[in-house]
Amino acid sequence: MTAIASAAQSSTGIRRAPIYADDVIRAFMIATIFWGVVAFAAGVYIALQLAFPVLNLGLEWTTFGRLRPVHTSAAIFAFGGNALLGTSFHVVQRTCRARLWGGDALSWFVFWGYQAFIVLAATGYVLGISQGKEYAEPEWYVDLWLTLVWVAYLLIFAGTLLKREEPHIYVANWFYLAFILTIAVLHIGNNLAVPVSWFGSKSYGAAAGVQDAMIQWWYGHNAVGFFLTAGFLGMMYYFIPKRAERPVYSYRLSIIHFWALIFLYIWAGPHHLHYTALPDWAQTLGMTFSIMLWMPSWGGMINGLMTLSGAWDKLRTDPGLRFSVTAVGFYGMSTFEGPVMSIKAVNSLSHYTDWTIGHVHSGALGWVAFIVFGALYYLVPFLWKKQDVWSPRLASWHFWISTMGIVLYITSMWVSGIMQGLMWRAYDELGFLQYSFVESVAAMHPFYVIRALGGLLFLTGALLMAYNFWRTIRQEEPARAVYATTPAE
Amino acid sequence: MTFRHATIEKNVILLAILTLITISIGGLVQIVPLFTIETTIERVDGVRPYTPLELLGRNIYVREGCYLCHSQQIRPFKDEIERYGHYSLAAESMYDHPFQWGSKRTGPDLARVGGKYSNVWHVAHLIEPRAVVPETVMPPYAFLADRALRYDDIAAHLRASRIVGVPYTDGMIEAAKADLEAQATQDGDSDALLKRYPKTVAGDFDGDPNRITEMDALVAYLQMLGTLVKFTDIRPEQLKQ
Amino acid sequence: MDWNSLYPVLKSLWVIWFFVLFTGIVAWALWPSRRTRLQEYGSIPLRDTEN
Repeated sequence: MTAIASAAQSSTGIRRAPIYADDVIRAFMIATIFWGVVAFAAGVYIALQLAFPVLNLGLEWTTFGRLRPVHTSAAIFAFGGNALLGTSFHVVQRTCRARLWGGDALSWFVFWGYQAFIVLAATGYVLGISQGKEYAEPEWYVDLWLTLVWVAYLLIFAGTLLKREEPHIYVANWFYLAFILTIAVLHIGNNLAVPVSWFGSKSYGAAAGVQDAMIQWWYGHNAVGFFLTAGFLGMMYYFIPKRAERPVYSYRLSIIHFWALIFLYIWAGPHHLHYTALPDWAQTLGMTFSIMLWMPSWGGMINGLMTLSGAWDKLRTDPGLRFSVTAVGFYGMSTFEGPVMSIKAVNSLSHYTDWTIGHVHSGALGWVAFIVFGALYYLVPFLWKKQDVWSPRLASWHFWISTMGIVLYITSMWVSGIMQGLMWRAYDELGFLQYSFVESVAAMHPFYVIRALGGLLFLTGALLMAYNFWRTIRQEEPARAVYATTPAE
Repeated sequence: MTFRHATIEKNVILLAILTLITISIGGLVQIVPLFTIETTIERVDGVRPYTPLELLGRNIYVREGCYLCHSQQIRPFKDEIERYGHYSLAAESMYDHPFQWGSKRTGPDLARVGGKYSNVWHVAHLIEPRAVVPETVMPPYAFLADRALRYDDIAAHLRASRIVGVPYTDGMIEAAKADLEAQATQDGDSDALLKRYPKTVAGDFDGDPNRITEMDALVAYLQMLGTLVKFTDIRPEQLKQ
Repeated sequence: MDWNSLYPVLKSLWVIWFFVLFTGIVAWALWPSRRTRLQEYGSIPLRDTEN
């Protein structure tokens, strides 16, 4: 305690920050925006394919089956991943008051290595190279490459923590560290495979059938838990306090939030396998922990929202903060919906339907993308040393257009999902199944059109953001007056 | 020893190790018993490794991402059993690397699609789905019928599968190429094929007897799905997990 | 060693361990004497002086 106090109050009470490695963070931010647009565009395209199948074009490279992994990987790993890597480098430097460990070459290796991973994976999907496991489609050679890049990333992050000037490790870094470590374990565990030959892309995974299913959803659900949740919570715990200019509502709650979340999340995977050939004991375990998970999730949500208490007026003037706070709201919503859907009785209806797709997108668009947009609206002007974004008005438009897009998306998927589930189990008065499968397909058409429209709005919003940032970066003045990390010459 | 959280929060290595322990427990408790508890996979007869042609057909199924719209896992509900057949057993996918249970039914479940439609229907449907089912949103896969199946390295596929636990024998690996051709063209030694892989259906799957295409392989795979276990012969206690 | 017979024992032990550990963390974090110090950490991001 005394160490902190004395460090915080050195001679003038203001300490000169070290010169941070910001170039690589700027690169990550540009990559985030670029891949975000790619991911949303791919999503809109495959959504339109489901409404209008002629858009599959009759080419092998443009079928839904090959493009869907392009969309999911671009959204999760390219857009989300670049945002996580970039913001973690920003946050760890600022909260440790230390420059990135390992030198510029290593952090640039992580940047380009990660982009290479994305390009290798995506071109593989289009050409028909896939492991056939959801969210883990890249084949063995891409997996090996990612492992290498990830180890370098872990070294930089942990190395920076080790050489920090601040005695305490700020909680955002705990979440980032848990994200990096857990993803490493999951990635290796789920991708063990034997290649058919060293010069071919095809491999056979180590596990089969029911064990493979369990390992896959242990991976799959914790990709949600640690990639799409823990990492972005790290973002929340830094950028919301920073932007609201007040400390997090309860730091003590954030510690409890962290341990409860990582304790519980890792158990929740089997809820993806309710009523399958997975033994019942595993299903019950998965359901129990999924329901318990509701508590830490809402603890975290309350902590994020209450940080704003006394500063709610900032929401009117700061579109970035509006994104962040709405993101926390969506986080609360989807972490409530998730446990409900993990209850076996509900799952018997919702599983295999569009309801799941809607749920995923309320998390992916509402929580993940919005918390990233919030961070970007803060970071882009900050890193390029500008007063503010070029047009806060345009940012406001972005917010409302995207929000409308999300609402259209998730409501249409609720309706179509529940309708599918009910049609599949409907009986007529004579005791026969009332609908053939293809009747349920035909009934989805209007909702697939509405969903595509929602996605189109979301994409439009992102394009407005990209334009806004381009103008922000390009604008000549007014540059921020003093920027302490730049050495005065 | 006094527990000091302050020590954890100041020590990166300790924080990392505790995080790793915390996240390992859950995974281990759920995954390890699936390998050690013997009843996880039901003791039923009939499940065998895929024939070389079916295996390559399955690889096409994986490559094209069919699992993104079709499940292969029938749940034990009245409507699903009436629509698709007996609920799926763990035993039926015990040689599936990777499993293809899927998570979404944009199209119907395929766990027991084998034998439900003719080869001609499958080929027509894969070439132009809307010619057969007007309301479907499935993409066309006409290119499969044009493309010769690449199977010069089929023995290597069986060998890699054997390393991960599929019981392919030396004889199966040696005869892989001959078995594949026998199944796809009906010209070869189909007795030997049937002896190695019981219940195999041989035939000209794609309607073009002159060559072996990717369509042959995929249709051969689809036509065997769910046909191996004979449920009329099974006693309830065999299904206990 | 027989995994199957050991498994239920491990499972209940784990639940107890989990409960004790988690209660410990909660108690530690909410202990009144630590309040000031912990809340102080919350201001780490705001101590940055570069802007």
